[in-house]
Amino acid sequence: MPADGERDVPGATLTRIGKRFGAVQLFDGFDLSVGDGEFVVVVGPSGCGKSTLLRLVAGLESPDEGTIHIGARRIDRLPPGERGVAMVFQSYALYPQMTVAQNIGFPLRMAGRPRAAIERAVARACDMLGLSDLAGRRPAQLSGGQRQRVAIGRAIVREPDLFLFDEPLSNLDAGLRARMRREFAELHARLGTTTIYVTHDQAEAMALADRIVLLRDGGIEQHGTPEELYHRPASLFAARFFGQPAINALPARVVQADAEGMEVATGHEGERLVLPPRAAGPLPAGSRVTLAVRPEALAAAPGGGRVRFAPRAVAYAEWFGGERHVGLGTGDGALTWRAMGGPAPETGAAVTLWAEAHDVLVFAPDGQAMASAPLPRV
Amino acid sequence: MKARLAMTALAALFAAITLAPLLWMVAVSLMQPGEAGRFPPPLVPADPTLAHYRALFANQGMGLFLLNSLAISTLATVLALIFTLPAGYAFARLRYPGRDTTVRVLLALLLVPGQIGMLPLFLELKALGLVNSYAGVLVPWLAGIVGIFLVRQYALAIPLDLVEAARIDGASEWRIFRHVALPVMRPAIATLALFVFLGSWNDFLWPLIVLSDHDLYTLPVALAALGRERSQDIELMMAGSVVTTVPVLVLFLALQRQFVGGLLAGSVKG
Repeated sequence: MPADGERDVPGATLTRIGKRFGAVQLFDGFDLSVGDGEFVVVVGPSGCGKSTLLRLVAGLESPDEGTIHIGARRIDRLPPGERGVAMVFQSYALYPQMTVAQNIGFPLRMAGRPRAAIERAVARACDMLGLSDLAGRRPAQLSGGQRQRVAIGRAIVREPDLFLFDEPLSNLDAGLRARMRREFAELHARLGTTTIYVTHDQAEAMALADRIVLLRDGGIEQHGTPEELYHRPASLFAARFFGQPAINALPARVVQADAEGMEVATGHEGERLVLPPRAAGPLPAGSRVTLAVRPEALAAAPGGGRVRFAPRAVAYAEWFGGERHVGLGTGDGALTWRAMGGPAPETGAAVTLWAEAHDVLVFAPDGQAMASAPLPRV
Repeated sequence: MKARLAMTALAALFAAITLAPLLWMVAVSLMQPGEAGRFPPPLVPADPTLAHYRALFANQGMGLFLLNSLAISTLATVLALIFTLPAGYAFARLRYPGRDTTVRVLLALLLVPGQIGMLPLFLELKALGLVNSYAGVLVPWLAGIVGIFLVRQYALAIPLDLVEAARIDGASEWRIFRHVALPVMRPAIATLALFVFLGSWNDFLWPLIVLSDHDLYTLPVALAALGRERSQDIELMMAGSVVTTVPVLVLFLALQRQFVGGLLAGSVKG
């Protein structure tokens, strides 16, 4: 374990990675750079290549093209054990016949460290992870959370340059998952080791990441801080990937647009919305766009400069204690409103909602975000 | 409940049918000379005696044949484990070109009856000067296809994550095999060991073909020779049969516990 952050913490760089599986070209010219000590969470739907990415870095798969570096050291030709990476698997992958202490000490034993040094390192890791009382047990005698900690212990004793986590929380129940998530965050704050963490869970990604990398079909759809991806998605795909309940997406048609603003018609009973102009310039009338607004950006109160949505009938209301999810309208015009407090709306009642203009995102026909033009300075 | 009772009764019936000849074998081996030939044949010795066992070891050289059999079966088991375990594991968990083709060819070869190979194998061993030696008896047991396949199937159940975790932990392929795979494969090892030990212990035809020297005979071969010389002496024959059967029965009972699986429990998920 590093001594009080004095250790040099290298980052990782993947350059022009190509990887093909049979007829499927998963990665083609893929680049990713992870900063020193950065906690990067790679997310995406299944099949997007996120697990393969980890396996390439770990050395469990070889890239067809491209290079992988940790700091200045090129690792893509090295066997997994010599790369200076440690990986925590979704299944934990603990050695069943070994005790907790033997599991954690295994990498050091393989490295030929002296027995006394191994015992010291194992004791320190057990102490850090609260496993000291369990050191003599076997994996079968541990709970899911304890097994996960043993897997982490096995990763940290090696003092790797890079941590790789492959969906480490997906086998745990919800409560334990939240607790382990915080433990990961604390562990990272303490060790400062560069980390690539793969998950399909958008909430986990937002809670843990310094930076999120959103993958889609072997390419980076968008990367940035959790806030950037949530509030300024680069595409409709990114907008839809984050947030629960999911972002509202309304298909719409441009009625007219100029330097002053744009007027669009949605599929909801002749609804017309007036939005600020787009930075890329006005779209021709008739263009199909998608409007997107987060459920919590909607409000039942009018305000200066707010966009007004036409009244919609309440379809359902679900109360979660503290917040209420209200479904309004039907078909293409349906909206979900995440309301904080307030009385329960009656089913069938018409409700008018407003949103700040900058919270209503516009996506071009190809799904790319159309940023609003910078506001004129007053 | 009724169904269970019926099942138990059925199992007891089959057990009785299987056990009856074995028990009678033991009973006859303890009878006075000629007693078993009477009609109706007695089930229990009227005046039990160990005379036939004494005769076997004192006059017929049974001790030597027992040692021969023990030596050959033990060697066959050890050698089979040494060759079969790495082969089966490699077919399951290492990636190299031609692996699956090799497995398919081996499986296809299973269809060829072993007897067909005996003459060519004999001629081959003769050319190598291995006829009439332990080595010649052992050759067919070194790496049996069935054994390799058994180990491979078991090794396929070792989670890939476990092997990959060990690779990342810096273990060489040999150490992964030694420290990760072998401990998990204990039930397969026990099964294979028992399988080879029993097979080589009970094997009759191949040692009969290869061994011409009386002093090298294994128990089944010696027993057959004894039967030819002393076909009237049923009690002596039965005593010889008991000596041949009991060691493998003991071995089976000793290893039975190993067949119980569950060693993988807790390694992944759970």
